[in-house]
Amino acid sequence: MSAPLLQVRNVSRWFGGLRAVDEVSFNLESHEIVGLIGPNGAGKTTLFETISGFIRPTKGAVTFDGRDITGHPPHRLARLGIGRTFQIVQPFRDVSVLENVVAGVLGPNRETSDPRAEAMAVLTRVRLDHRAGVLARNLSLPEKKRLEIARALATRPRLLLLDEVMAGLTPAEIDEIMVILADIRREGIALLIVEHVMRAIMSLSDRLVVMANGRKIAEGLPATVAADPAVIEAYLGRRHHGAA
Amino acid sequence: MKPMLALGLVVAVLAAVAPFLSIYGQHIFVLVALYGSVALAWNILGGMAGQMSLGHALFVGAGAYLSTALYLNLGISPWIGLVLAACLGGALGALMGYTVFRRKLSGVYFALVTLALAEMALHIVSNVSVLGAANGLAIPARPSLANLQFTSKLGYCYAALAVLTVAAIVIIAIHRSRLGYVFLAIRENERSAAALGIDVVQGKVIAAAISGALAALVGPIYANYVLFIDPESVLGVTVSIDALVFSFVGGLGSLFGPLLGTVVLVPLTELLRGMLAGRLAGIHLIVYGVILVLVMRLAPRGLWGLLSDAIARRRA
Repeated sequence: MSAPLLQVRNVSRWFGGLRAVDEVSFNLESHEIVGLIGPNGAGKTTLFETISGFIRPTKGAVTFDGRDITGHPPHRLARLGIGRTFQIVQPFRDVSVLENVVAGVLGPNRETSDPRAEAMAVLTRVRLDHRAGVLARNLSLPEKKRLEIARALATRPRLLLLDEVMAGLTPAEIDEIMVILADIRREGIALLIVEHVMRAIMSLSDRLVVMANGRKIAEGLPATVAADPAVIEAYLGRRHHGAA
Repeated sequence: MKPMLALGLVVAVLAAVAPFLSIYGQHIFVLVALYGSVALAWNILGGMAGQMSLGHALFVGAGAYLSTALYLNLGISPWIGLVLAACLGGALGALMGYTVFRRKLSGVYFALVTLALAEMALHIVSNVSVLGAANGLAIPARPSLANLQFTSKLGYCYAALAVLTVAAIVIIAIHRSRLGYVFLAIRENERSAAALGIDVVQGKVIAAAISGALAALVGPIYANYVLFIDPESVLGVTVSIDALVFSFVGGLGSLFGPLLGTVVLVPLTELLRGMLAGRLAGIHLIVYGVILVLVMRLAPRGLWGLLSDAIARRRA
């Protein structure tokens, strides 16, 4: 039996007296899609930043592929095979879409024979190849979200962390992203998705991890989690018994 | 290999034209090539990697003083001095970059630290007698290739052109390699760069080292051309500001815009100096200021941007 691809063990992150993330543990197997959900302020983003190396955990450990990666800087994690996107898209605005992705191909400093061809192939995967020559600043929001995914894919990750890649998109645009994500998982890349679009995360995820007030309050199959009273309470608040 | 071919062509043309210039024309040629080299070097760090330096005089001055002091005191050939100057410039750049960038300081903080370091160097040199203190160092005229001194200005034209060519080759090589994308990513968005596996601190340190090494190459050539250096002329803040102004006017985002800025501004300065015949000293700074404001206002991407837009429009 092999170790899980990603292991988050008792990770906490405090900001002064605020426990943004409080003793959270979960595993993610290779080829698995795990959705990380929770109401605003639950600590999802902080946990996400901790796993991707942008924030150091106050306590706890993160392992990737059996290796301790706690507190590793982001560029080293990217080289190990953890790619990420940003909630607020951060393309290299003043260069072409293709150049953005070439930077992703070359970023991890591995051997490549033809970076531009490799970048073009990645653009095809996210259906952005027809926009290769356009300046990134001139893309529409859904296109920028896809560029964000393409650039992360170009680093050849084994685990991709997606931070709200569907926020702000129309239902049709969300469907498009969902098809792309399903393709990515078929290629054998594991996904950890932070998302507010429930329809998407329910149908994509193999498992859900639910956070509220910095703690993990539920974990399991999407259908099970959705019926969990603790989850319903976290999202909707406590029901007022005996009122009226 | 197309950019390298174009570069070879340009250099060949310049080399062929130089002998036919007047003495004054050759003087301008040398100045443009030397200032242009500093501007190109500055642009590697300031334009390509996006880290503005206000202290490139440090590198130019270090190179000039190193080779001159070695020659005057130990009789070491300026050619060796030239190589050592590049090494020293690279080391200083790396050290400066490492101390600042490791602490996650950038932007205006980096600019201020570079300014402070160059000023410190100026004041230190001004008080070290081996380096001529505030009086400077005069190099006795002994023209020979071994001494990096030439009987005619033409020799200096070629020496300066050689330095300029080295800078251009390095820039093209960077642009075509992974390093070019590392610099681009750092300049555009550091968080994204890190997420793509790019070591941001290391990338900036490399940029500072290359930039410092190339700027330092100019020092020995300049010293042997003028045959005199003092703290103000090679370590003064004017040297740093010139590199920055030429780059801004020429176009920051471009590879060779800074050279274009130099080609326009240096002859203009010299012309003004000739016309005013020593009156109104420092008037060129006012002219720089006016031009800088005009460029910022009318052509934010510099003369290079203006030119490439015009070419694109004609083709369309």
